[in-house]
Amino acid sequence: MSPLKLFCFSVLLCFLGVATLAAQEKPYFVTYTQDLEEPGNLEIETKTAIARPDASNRFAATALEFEYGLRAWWTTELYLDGQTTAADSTIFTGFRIENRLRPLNSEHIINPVLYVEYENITGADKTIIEVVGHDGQSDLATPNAEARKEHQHEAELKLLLSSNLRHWNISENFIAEKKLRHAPWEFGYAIAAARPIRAAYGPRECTFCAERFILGVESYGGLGNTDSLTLHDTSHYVGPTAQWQLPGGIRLTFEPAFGLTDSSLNRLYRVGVAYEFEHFGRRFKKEAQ
Amino acid sequence: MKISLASALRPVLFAALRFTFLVMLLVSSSALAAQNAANIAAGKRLYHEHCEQCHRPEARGDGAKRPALRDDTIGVISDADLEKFIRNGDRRKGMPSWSGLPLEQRQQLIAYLRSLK
Ligand code: HEC
Repeated sequence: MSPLKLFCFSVLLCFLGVATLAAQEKPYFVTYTQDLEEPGNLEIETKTAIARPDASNRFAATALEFEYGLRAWWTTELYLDGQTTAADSTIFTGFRIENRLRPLNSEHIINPVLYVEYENITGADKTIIEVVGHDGQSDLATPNAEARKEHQHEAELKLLLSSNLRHWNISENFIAEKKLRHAPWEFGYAIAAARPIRAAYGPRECTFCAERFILGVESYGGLGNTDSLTLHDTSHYVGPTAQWQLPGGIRLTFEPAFGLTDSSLNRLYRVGVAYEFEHFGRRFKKEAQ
Repeated sequence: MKISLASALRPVLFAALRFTFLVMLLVSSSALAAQNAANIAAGKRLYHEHCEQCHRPEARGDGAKRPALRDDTIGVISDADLEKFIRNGDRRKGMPSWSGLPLEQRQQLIAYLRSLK
């Protein structure tokens, strides 16, 4: 399915919903926080990355995300990835399945979350949902026809650490990724912080008021692999990020990120559109009765 | 002459002071009441967005695992303990943690729950 079709499909699904929900989600694209999906809720989100590698054409890659709260301590997620590259083609690039578990029952200053992912993607995947090892812009410059021949089955583990302090969320993620054949472990990181412009809610429903906007900053990059545990030839990004939580439960997020090394893309723009359905699981149960 | 003028003015002065004090009390208590009403209204919005799906409209509970949160059921818990519970949640029993909301919003939620009688 092309990214455009994926996007249309998710927008269509959005209109099937009726609930007005706001989530505790933060405006991050790579970094995960301690906040899980509320049990029974389904969130659908598109995360699009737009960039142009030095040696290639502009691309837009979309990850369509289905995030479901199985339990208050367990969230599971399916990603469908696709991309379109100018003067090249539009292709589906694979899927990922991910689980996030919170081992501790109550809140602490730093809250750990365990993250386990299986990826089945091709070399043409450009969603840049994480940066690990020596990932760089040259990986994104191979023509689609050639890049899609490379199949990657990968396992990924992350330790997510996150703190909610008064108005701020601060999160740090450590990533370890391994192709399921003989290949070294690759490492990466993501850190981010954000807060709403105004902490308290106003008494009346509003669209443009300060409590509906969350601002933050996010940074992520690769840390080499077990064969070459060095920062040489690694990519790193940093950028401001902003989220607008519209009444009715739609969230829009935008992040321009700037590459910090030669291997990084110069600029990487990200756009996210999300919608949450309450008690999605229960609807099916009701219909079955 | 001077002494008698001062003693004549004294009750007037006292009356003026008492009047000012009363006006200040009235103004500040009505400002407080307005602030409280605004917090309750804000808490109601927050409740609708985050809690109603489980604890049902007007916090009446779902009659099963999700308890009612009206003042008569949570009345014995102090605001501080209530805030702590909402912040922590009880994930094993299905209550999410709400530490991702700013403290002010959890306090507004409590103001709303306390207003339900
Ligand atoms: C996904 C469903 C769900 C949502 C959403 C939810 N709760 Fe709960 N809540 C529960 C469950 C289940 C319990 C019972 C937990 C227990 O027995 O320890 C509970 C218990 C509580 C209690 C303790 C009540 C008592 O009498 O012990 C409070 C207070 C509370 N919730 C407040 C809130 C607030 C405020 C919100 C919104 C910010 C909220 N809840 C959102 C499921 C939910």
